[in-house]
Amino acid sequence: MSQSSADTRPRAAASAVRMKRAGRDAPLSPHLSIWRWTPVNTTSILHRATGIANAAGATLLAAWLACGAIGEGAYDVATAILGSPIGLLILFAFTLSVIYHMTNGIRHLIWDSGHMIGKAGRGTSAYAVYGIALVLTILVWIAAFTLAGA
Amino acid sequence: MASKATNHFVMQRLTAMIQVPLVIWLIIAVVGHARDTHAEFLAWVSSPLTAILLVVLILSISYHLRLGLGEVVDDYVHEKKRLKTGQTLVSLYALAVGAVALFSVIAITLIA
Repeated sequence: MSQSSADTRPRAAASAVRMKRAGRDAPLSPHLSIWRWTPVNTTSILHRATGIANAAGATLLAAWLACGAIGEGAYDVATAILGSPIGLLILFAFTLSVIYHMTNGIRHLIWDSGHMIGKAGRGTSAYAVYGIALVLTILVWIAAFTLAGA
Repeated sequence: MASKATNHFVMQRLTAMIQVPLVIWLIIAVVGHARDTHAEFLAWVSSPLTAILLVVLILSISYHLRLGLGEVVDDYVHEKKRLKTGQTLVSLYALAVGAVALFSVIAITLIA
């Protein structure tokens, strides 16, 4: 009896402090400098980075559609910018970012279904995601340039 | 959907699953329409199938990016007031992107 009450008292006090803190500020996630980089945890960090990039890229999609809606002049300016070397570079990076996020997102959905959770599945699927994302992106751009030549 | 967190989890996955086929379609379609003239672009966007797929994709994307960016803000913004401001900015960004894209598709279907 006395032992159990001695155990709970400090724990209760600590949790009260934690609750008080939680009421003020939200807890922080460790920053990038904390992690040791491995192929597996890099998929996770890249998932977030590409997610942010895709969210920014959504502006590109909205702007493209808006220029099309505004009129021929705006549309021609948009396609000229996107077709310039810098525009093509941004579009290539955006393609890679979207395809990576989608491929790794499918990996997350597979995990959510309870599959491939073991250490081996984690590692193999990490390399699979890198490979598939890169190959698909290159295929998309080969298709784009082939159509341009035709 | 018991809690806010459960709702977040379910909606993030639901929008992700909607986007997988739609994003594949969009990439292929954009490759095919990259060199469209303005008239060809209008005809493509205003065709019923394109328009409806774009509308679904835009709604899904703006919701998904709000959840995702919101998570980033949650993880890295410590102070409560700033956290609230951050979440509001994320919501406004998602709303702006979604509204502009959605309105553009509707406008194109009406003018084309």
